[in-house]
Amino acid sequence: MILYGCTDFLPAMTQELDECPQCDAAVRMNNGLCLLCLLQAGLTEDQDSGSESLEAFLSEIE
Amino acid sequence: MRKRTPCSRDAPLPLVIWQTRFRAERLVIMDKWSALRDRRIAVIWSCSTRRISLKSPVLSSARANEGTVRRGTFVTTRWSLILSGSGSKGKEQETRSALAELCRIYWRPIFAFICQRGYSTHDAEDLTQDFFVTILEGDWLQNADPSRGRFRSLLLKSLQNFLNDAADRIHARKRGGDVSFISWDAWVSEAPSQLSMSTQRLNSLPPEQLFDVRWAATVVERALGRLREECERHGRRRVFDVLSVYLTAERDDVSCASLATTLGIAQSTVKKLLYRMRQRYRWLLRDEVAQTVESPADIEDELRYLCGALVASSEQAS
Repeated sequence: MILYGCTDFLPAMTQELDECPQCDAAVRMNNGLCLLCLLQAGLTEDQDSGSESLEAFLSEIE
Repeated sequence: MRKRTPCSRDAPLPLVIWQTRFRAERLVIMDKWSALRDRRIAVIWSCSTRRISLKSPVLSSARANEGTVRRGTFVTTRWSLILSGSGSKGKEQETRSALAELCRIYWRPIFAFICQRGYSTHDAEDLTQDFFVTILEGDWLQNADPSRGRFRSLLLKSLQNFLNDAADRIHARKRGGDVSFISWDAWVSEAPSQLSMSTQRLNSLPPEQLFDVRWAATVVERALGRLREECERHGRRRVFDVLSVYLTAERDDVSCASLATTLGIAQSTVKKLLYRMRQRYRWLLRDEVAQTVESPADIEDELRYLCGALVASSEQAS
């Protein structure tokens, strides 16, 4: 692959990342979260969208 | 199954509109696992932890979740809107807008695929531009596989065909055949990439696998972005910044006391916030996937496909 300049088009290049202790995958988001774990979270389906409860709770925080 | 929260009469309308359609009578759970089996990738579907693990490979079936799909309901998403409007004169503008929006969201997998095929960044930019123009201004859907399929797979197949004539296209562009659809700077600043990969891993991936990884990252980035915006709307960006890194953490790994001190709130509040943020994130993630599949029944399968693709990319690099 030929790359020049600073590009945001492709994944950020880093040194070798540690594997995720939970699933062993080594593709991360910039905040350190494992991409596979984040994706797997969606395999749990909730009946409730959680929108109301989260927004209500955020509003209540002092 | 999680406990259902009672619906309030004053509850705001959901983000998606549920409506009954004949198509909904068709409970479709696509079985794409043969592709994974072919690659000798074993994926675990653990009912207790719901994690796909590289450590304990066990193969499972998407059919296990048929019971979770709502029968008789149909969600109108961008992709289903495009499919239903394809070939219909009256819906042409609506269909084109929905397609343009999907292209705007998923341009990075396209670009990454083209780069990984060996084109320079400059040529890849031009080819990405031309590819989207071809899709948006041509009869892409009419000419695509009539069995349709998902937006992701259809887009990739079309891209592969498109690149067969890439040399001619680049040559034509250099002769002045410029067309413009993508606003690179605007798109990059609108949703900065959050994906990190080692150089070694990136270089080891075939274009198709990088496309899938980049696609999975886009879905996750979109869901996280929407969660962040929701927190920001309530002036709680800091809550998102501090707690979002624990969205997938095991309970034992979360120190609520420390987080409570950091945020200046009670420990019990941290626990409730984290629970609600996780629940909301899951919903947003599924909603993002829903925009690219034909029916809600396909969400689970698409997520499993993307998880499998990530597992495959890890296997490839190791």
